[in-house]
This record gives sequence, structure tokens and C-alpha cells, in this order.
Amino acid sequence: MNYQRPLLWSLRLSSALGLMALTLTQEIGAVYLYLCWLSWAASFWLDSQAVWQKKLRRLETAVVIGMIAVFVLDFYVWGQTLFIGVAHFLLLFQTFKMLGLKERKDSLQILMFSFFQMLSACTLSVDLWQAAILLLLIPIATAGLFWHLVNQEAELQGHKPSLQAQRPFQRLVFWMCAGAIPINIALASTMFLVFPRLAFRNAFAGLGSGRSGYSEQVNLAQAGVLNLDSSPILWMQITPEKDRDRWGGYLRGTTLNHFDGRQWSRQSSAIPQTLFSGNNGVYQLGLPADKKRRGLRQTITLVNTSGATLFGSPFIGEAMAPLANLQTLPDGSVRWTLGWRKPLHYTVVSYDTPLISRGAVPNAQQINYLQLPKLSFDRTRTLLQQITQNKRTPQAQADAIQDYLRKEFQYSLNLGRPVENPVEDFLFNRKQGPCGYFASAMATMLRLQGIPARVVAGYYKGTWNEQLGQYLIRERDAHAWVEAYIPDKGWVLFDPSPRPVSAPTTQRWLSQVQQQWEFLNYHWARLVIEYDLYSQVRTVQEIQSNTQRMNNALTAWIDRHLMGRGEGTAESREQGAEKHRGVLGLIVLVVGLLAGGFFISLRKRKALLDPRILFYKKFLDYMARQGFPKNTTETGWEYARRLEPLCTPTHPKLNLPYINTITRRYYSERFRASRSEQE
Amino acid sequence: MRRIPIRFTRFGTSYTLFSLAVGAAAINTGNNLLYLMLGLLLGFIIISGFLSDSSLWGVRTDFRPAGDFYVGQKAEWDVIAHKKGFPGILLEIQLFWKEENISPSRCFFYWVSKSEQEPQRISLVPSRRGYWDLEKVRYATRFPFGLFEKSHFHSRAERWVVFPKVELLSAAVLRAGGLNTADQPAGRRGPGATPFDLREFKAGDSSKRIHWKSSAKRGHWMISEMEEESALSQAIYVSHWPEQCESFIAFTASLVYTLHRQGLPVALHTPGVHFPADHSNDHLKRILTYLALVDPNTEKGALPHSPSQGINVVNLWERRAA
Repeated sequence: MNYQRPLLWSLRLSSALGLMALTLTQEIGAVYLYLCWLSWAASFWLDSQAVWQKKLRRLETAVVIGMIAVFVLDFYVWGQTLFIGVAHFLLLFQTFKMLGLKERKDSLQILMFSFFQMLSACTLSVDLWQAAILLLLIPIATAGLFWHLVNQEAELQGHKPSLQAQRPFQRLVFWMCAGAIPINIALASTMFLVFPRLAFRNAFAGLGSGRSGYSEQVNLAQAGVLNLDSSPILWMQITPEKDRDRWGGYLRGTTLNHFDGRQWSRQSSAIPQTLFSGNNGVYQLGLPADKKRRGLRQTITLVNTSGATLFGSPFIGEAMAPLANLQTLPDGSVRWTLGWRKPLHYTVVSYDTPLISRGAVPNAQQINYLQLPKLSFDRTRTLLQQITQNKRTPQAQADAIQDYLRKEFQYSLNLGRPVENPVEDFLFNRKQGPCGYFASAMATMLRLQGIPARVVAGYYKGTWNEQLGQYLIRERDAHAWVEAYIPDKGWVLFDPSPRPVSAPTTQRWLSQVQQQWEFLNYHWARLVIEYDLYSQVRTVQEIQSNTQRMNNALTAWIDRHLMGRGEGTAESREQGAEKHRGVLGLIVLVVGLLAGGFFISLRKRKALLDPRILFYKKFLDYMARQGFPKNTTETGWEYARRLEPLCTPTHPKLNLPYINTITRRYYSERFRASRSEQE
Repeated sequence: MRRIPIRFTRFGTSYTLFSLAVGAAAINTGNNLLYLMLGLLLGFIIISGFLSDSSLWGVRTDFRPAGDFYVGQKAEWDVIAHKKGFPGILLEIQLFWKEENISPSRCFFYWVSKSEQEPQRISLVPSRRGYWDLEKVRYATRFPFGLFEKSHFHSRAERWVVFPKVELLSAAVLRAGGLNTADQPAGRRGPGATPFDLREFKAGDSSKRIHWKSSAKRGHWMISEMEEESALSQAIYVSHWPEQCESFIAFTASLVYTLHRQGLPVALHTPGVHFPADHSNDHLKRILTYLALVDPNTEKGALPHSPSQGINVVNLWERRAA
């Protein structure tokens, strides 16, 4: 066994772990990751090609200069954050190190890169697979650091470990890795539970990770194809479960009122209203006109909080959230302002009718829901006339537009190409596209018709998880629809997008595995990612209350069963208490006897060694410590004779007369006979 | 419980600073995964402390001299380490001597268990004769991760004798001293050329030894036995200790050593002791030990009476120096 090979394998495994961690975040540039993975694979062959590795080594300075240049470009030109730029730099460095000659210091550098990569992944993503990564880190790091030390010592001492020493190292590493896992889990869990959550949240320029997620714009000027991102956004539970049927499937985020011809965005001079929770912790956003109307209660765990928007079924009337305050806008959207960088658990109650003081058409000076871009919509007007022919009321006109778009157009992820007037291009040329085009087209047509309209960005439906009893909404469930203001009704929801063809049903077992993963991911988010100062306080309080409860129960039991203070007559209570005291006394007696017997036997074993003979045992122990142990097959005198020739000035501790005296005395004490009789 | 000093290695310092940085980041951001990561990093430190303690405690070492020690020659010891229970891993053992200006001797064990290990050898070159005392032994290890070096000292009072510097003297020097190295009859049976005694023939005796004359006279085979030859024992004496003691002692030791190498029994007489003639290795060691430890200041004066035979080492030494 070569003692250097295990180190090579350890650093390969650790670098694979770090790369896997970064790859799963989906935040790092694909080119860098692919390059690094390629170098990892190539290292298996290159490690046997020392000539090529040495040639690569000579290029180290030039390569480092190149990497610094890439980093500068990354940060200043391509606009990456400092954090991502550094991650890219380290990936390139690792690529070079994996390909080149791996001396011991290179191995240490690769191990450290892996640590940094896993650390970066922790800041970029919070999914359940992080737990698996951290778990695998324990044995790989244990083995890697140990073998690195062995190699380092071999270098320092100038001689490698003998084969005799290398073999037990393998067993040792196995047991170290096996032991490190539970110990590290226990220590990490203790640290996790006990360490105070202060969360100062000081921001450092350039170090924000800026995760993409919910978007507050609908951009029609993009090209290409939409990527279906499966990242979870939120979990939603509807209580009671029978109310699931009442949910229309929409989760409202924000509204977009300004259309410049290519992009919908929010522009408003209205001042958001800041709300504070009442004594019961509930934020009152608005009430329905019909006060008897029952709201739809949703408990939501928002995993991605980068949008700082509270989602809920339209329209949110009440909210309960661990936030210092909330901001509401005249369009009914709810936001928070203070940074919240981890999953947010909150409850909202929604009403599907317009709410008092919310939702009404605000002052037109504040928000213009009839605004149109400076583009020609002649063809659209003509089409509109055809669609809304014989439709007199705004509701009927809006329904007609919605029906027309649903029937005559196809849903597609294809974004097409950027054009001057994307709405007319969609209506008359392409006739297919994602939901943003449908919503834009309908909102534009409604505004052309003189009906106030706005585009709403949010999410639709998601997938139902049977185990959790919750909906999981992913990034790919992002949706855009339209709200039109209908006199006497208020803002009414319209969804002109045809329902996309549902994906073919996956294998049942695969869907079950997926559900199980989502179930674990949810609990990971709830128990680990969301653990904060409040959770700590709650945990301490729960421990205290449980301890108090146990204490009370024990006291009550003692009072009842031992002190006779329970129910019943005084005589029966006393009899019961006597019986219990008797049983307890018996138990104590038995335990005491057993313990006493144990200690007595221990003393007896010691006492078997007569103190007069005990001195000889102490003498033997002393001699063993000096390096002259007595063999078990030797008698006392044989031992003394064996030491005799060693009693020279080179061994000042060996005094022959002393040894002989001790041995003689031992024999006389033990056997009560002289030496001559024994020998 | 005895404390074991801890010294941070360079890697350990970086690791600890890195852990502190992760802790600060965790506190700043409130990211629970960073808290987990911090827990893992600290867990490694705690495991490292526990394993390094286990590796250090209970190590026993034996030091077996590999031969005799002479001034100016490499003195070597075989270091054998034992440990019960958890093995000692990546163990460095340093020997600290009472002698000043002598750097600690060190050896390294990759694996120390309760069974006999392959010994490691340490060496040094003694610069003076006499007792060489081992003061203490230091056990150190960086096991398991190289984050810290833990060590502890163990007092060890071991002592070895370093003999004076010896060299083989030339025959001219010996002759100048009047040393007779011819063989002499020993007065007992043994291999030799001089007939010693006659006895009856026994089965197994060589026919070449048959003494024909005696055999004819007695009517049965008689065998002649030879006398053992032995060298003449050499008596050397130190009449008094001269001023330049150290070089004289070295010369005396060299003389004794040279004579012993020639198989001659050597007797030594000094103002302090008298060693009768003997040619055994133990006898040589006794004389060399005496010469290693002798303090001429305590043996002032001269021999009470000069031997009738023997060589005055002082004269020989002075003659040689001249």
C-alpha cells in the first residue's frame, strides 16, 4: 500500500464534493463548473503522466495571471458580485491544480478549496441536499487531513512509514471516519441549538449573493426559450383541508401597471402604507364588504424570500408573520422592508371579493391603469372590435377577450425574438407564447377598450404533496394574469393563458420518491433553515415547561403513593401509602445489597493480596516501568537471577542486593520457607 | 490531571482563524448552514484534541545501548516504544541530556502499540568521558489532523558511562614500553606444543598423540597431553596522575584496549585501585569504567610501592609525547 495514494483519493473525493455542492446551487457559471469537472476527470489519467504534469507546472505563474485577469473581468465587466467572482477564481485555480503535479502542499490547497466551495454553497442555497453534502464532508475531511499529515511527517522525517505501520493506518482511518460522523453530528447539533442567533446582518459591498427568483417585471423583449426551473419557492397548506376546493390556484404577488411597449413594470407615486401588527400579532389589511364571508386560510413557508413579497390567494385580508412591520400598496400587494434572508413562515387569510379600503380603483392621479405605450395598435383595435361586438358590459367584453385568447392561441415556452411591438407580433404573427404574452395582450386590449387593467405576477397551483398535506410551488409555476376593474364588482381576475398541456405522468415510484424528497426538504427548511432566536427561546421554554411538568408529576406521585395524600378515605390512603413505601424500601434494599456486595467483593479481591505480599507486586510494577518486566512463566528467583548480570554501572537502578532482599522477603512471607528449601 | 502543552501548527492557526471567520459570518448573516459548518469545524478540533491525548498517554520507552560508548565515537541507542490501549501514532520522541550544548536527540515512530515495535536508533557523539545522564524525554505528536502539536515531558533518570577515547597503539609504542607479548606456558592442559602429562589411551584420542616409548614400557597405549600456552599477563601501573589528565587517561585506556585486543591479560595498578590481570571483556569494561569515572583529584599521591614488573604508563606517555 502506498501511503500517498490515499491522500490523492481523499482530495479527489473532497474536490468532487465541493464541485457537487456548487453545481447544485445553480448559481455558479456553468463554464467554470464544466471546466472544473473536466479537470477532475482528466486528473485520473494525468496523475500517471508525470511528464505532462511537470510541463503544466511551469505554466503556473502565467495561469495565475490569467485567472486574476478573468476575475477582474468577472467583477468589473460582467457585473458578477465579489462573492461569485471569488468563487469563479477558486474554481479556475482548482482546475489548474487538479491537472498539475500534486505535491503535498497542492493537496492541502485542493482540500481547502473544497472547504471554501462548500461554504459558498451554504450561503447560496439552503436545500436538503446540503445536509447530505455536510454529512459526506465529515469522513472525507477526516481521511484527507489525516493522510495529509502522514505525508507531511514522512517528508519532515525523511523516511516513509514501513509497510508494518501502513496497514494499521487503513483500519485506523476507517474507525476514525466512523467515529467522527456521530461525534461531529452531536457537536454540530449542540452548537446549532445553543449558539445564540444574533444575525447582525451587516452588509458588505459586493458580497451579496443576489439569488434570482420572483421577478417584478414581465419582459416581452427577450429571445430564446424559457427554462423550467424546479427550485422550490414556497409551501402552502390550506386549513381546513376541505377548503382546498375553494382555492382558485392563484398566489398573488405584485401588480404591474406601466407598459412601455416591451416591458410591464410597477410605477406608482402612491406612498405605501406601513402596518404594524395588533396585540394578537395579526396584521389587518382589509375586510370584505360582506363581513360574514369566510376567508381562505393559508399557511405558507416561503423558501425564497428575495422578492420581499408576501404571497397569498387574492386578496389578502389578514396576515400573521414574524416581521416587524408590513407595507401594503394600493393595488393590494403586501411587502416587507427589513432584510429577511431565510425562509419565512407566515399565515394569511384571503377573501375572493374586493376588500374595503383596498382594491378600489385608486385615485387616477396616483396610478394610471389605462396607460398605453406610444406604439400603433390599429390592428389590435380592429381585432378588438370584432371580439367585443355585441358585448355591452365591461365584464362581457373582458370575458370575450379572455375566451378569444384561450381558444385561438397556444401556450408555449418559446419567447420568439425581440420586436418593435411584441403584443401585435404575438396577436397576429406568432400566436403562441408564455403566460406573460397572454396577460400583456389582454391587459393592452382591455385598456384600449377603456377598461382599467393591470398585469399581476405571482404563482399558479404547484404540486400537491400527499405526505405533507401541502402544495409545493416551484419557480416553474410562476404565472402572469390580468386584473380588470369592473364597476360594481371591483378588481376581477382574468387568466387568458390556455392551460398548458400537462406533462405526461411520471412513474408512480418516481413521483413517490420525489414526494418523499419534498417532504424531507420541507422539514429541513422548517427545522434547520428557519431555526432562529425565537426558536431557541421557544426550545428553552419547552424544555423548562417539560422539566417542570415532570417534576410536578413526580411530586404528585410521591404525595399520592408515598405520603398518602391522594383520593379516598384516610385509612385507605394510609394503607396504600404504606404498601408503596414498602415496595420502594424493598427496591432500595435490593439495590443497596447488590451495590454493597459488589464493593465488598472488590475489597476482597484487593485484600487477597496480603499487604505483606503486595509490596512485591509494587516492586514488579516498578521494575516493569524501568523496562525490566517479569515474565509470567518466571518464578521470583528466576527473575532475580536473570537480572543479576544486568546489575552493572550502566543500569544504576538495578541493585542486586536490593533485588535479592525483596525476593527473599517475598518468599519468606508467602511460603514461610527459606530460599534453599524453595530452590 | 497533567496538562499537555499545545502548540498551534501553521495549518492549525489558519484553520482556527478560518473557523472564527465562519463563526463571525454565521453570527452576522444568521445563516443556519454556516452554524452547522462552524459546528463541524469545531468538532474536528475537539476530535483532534481527544485523539492526540489518547495517542500520547501511557507511552513507555526503553533505551538499549547499541554497544559501548567512547569519547569521540558515535554512541547509539535503540529506542523501543510500547503503549497499551490506543496506539501512539506519529509520535516524536526527544531525549534531553543534562549535558549542556548537546541538542536533543530525536526519533520518530509512525505506530506504537503494545507489541514489540521496530526500534528506532538515535545517536550522538560524546565529547567527554564519564557519566552521561538522560534528564527527560519529550513525547510529541501532531496526530490526527496536524492542527496542533501536543507534547509532554517525562522525567527519566537514565545514566550511561562513556569510556575515554581509545585508539589502537602501534607496536613500536608497545615495544618502547618493554612489553613482552610472547606466549608462555600456562601450567594446565590445553592446545600447545609443549608436552605436559601422560595418560592412558581412550577411545577417540588421536593416534598422533601416542607416546610410543611409554606405551612400549607399559604394554598399553599411552597418550601425551600438551600444555596450554598463554600470553604473559601485562601489568601496567600509573605511578601518579600527571597534570594533563584527560589525554593521559585516554592514553592509558588506549594502552589497555590495545593489549586486550591482542589477547593479553592486563593488570592495572593506580594510586586508587588495583585490577588483577585478566583478558575477559568484562575485565576490560571494568578498567575502562574506572578510567571513565576516575577523578584524579581524589586519588592524589602515588602508588604506595612500585610493582616489580610492569610498565609505568606515565613514563611511556611522556616518552611518546616527547
